[in-house]
Amino acid sequence: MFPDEIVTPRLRLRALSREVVDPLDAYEQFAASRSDTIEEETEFVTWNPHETPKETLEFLKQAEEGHESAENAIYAVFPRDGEDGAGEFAGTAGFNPEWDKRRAVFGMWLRKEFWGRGYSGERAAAFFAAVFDVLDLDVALAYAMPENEASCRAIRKYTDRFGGQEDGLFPNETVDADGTPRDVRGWSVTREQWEDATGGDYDAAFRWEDSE
Amino acid sequence: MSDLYPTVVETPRLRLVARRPKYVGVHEAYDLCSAPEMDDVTRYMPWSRHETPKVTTEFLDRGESSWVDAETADYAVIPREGEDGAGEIAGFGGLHTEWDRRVGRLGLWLHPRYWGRGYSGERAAALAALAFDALDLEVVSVSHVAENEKSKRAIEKYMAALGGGLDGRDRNSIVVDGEPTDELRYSVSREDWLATTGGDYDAEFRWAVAPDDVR
Repeated sequence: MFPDEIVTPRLRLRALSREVVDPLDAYEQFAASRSDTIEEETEFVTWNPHETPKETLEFLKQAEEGHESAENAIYAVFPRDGEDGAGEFAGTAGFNPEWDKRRAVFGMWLRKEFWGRGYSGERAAAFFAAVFDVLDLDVALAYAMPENEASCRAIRKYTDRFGGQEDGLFPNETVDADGTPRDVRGWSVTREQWEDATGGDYDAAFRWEDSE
Repeated sequence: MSDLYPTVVETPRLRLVARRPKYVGVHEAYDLCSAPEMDDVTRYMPWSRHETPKVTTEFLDRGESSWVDAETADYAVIPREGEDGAGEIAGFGGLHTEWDRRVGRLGLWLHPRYWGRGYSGERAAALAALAFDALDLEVVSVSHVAENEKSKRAIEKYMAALGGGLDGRDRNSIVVDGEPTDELRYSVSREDWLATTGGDYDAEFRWAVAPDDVR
């Protein structure tokens, strides 16, 4: 159901799996013991840096299952040719459909090396097309902790561009990896807003692998 | 051994009694939950009026298991002596305790006969006090379907009185009659509740009650 590959002007997103990202290679980026930047990269997410390669393996298997069962879409992000670090595993990005509510929640984790390039907005533009045009959902949502200023800025910018809005600040809405309750700010774009803002046009290509 | 939640909560005009089969009879609950007027109640709720007593049995059983598991303090709402309909069950409501987030979520419905009496606010004041004072939660929250004007008015009023307010809109967050619809969400923090009310409230909580004294 989900596209296996999404190509934008500067990014190639491939459905996350053990084939797309080797577990031990990915561990280099996720591990507390291997990456100098992982602490900073996970300051505002609800998971901790990985302690063992087994955690990375489980994460990849979970992504494969979510893709297969159409419960959760998560992609590996690769900058395309011409970009600094082209072909490198730059992070993950996904959308989680809640089918009965006809909505999907966006999420993204990007390695620090790739921050500040506008990749989040470019990926969001493609995801809006995926959830509204391909999957026929009605609302796309994004959340960030209010202290996470970079993410708040990026989300505010792309929801604004596609006709959406901030929906509120919800106290103790989530629990971080250490078990502490944290506030969450929420934004959304509805299908009507996206259509008004874009005319239904987008600069992204979706590909599905041949299925038997 | 005592439960986490008080079996009985008394406010000036209401008695809240644990929604457990030993205190709430299935037939009296079914009479209420199956009444035709319930269609007005469930218009903005993700369920519909009970069509058989079996549904009511399961409803009370869920009250029992979430009580025993310390997930939700659910109560039958009963007007006290001097009120019109004293001793009858007017509706059900409670506090859903999300311990990991330290959040207590309020919920309530009343038979239309009991609307407009301010019972919702009276119950909310008592259960917010329970959440902050007894259960050490940090936030009390509540939401309503965006189009539900009656709930909106009641919630705005009692949330302001407790020191809280509107947090925002949760789009397509609930499915009513097969249609995803928006909810408005409100909350009050313990700090704001203390600053606004001084921590005072007009309710009594009873954990140890002899079975014959519950109703």
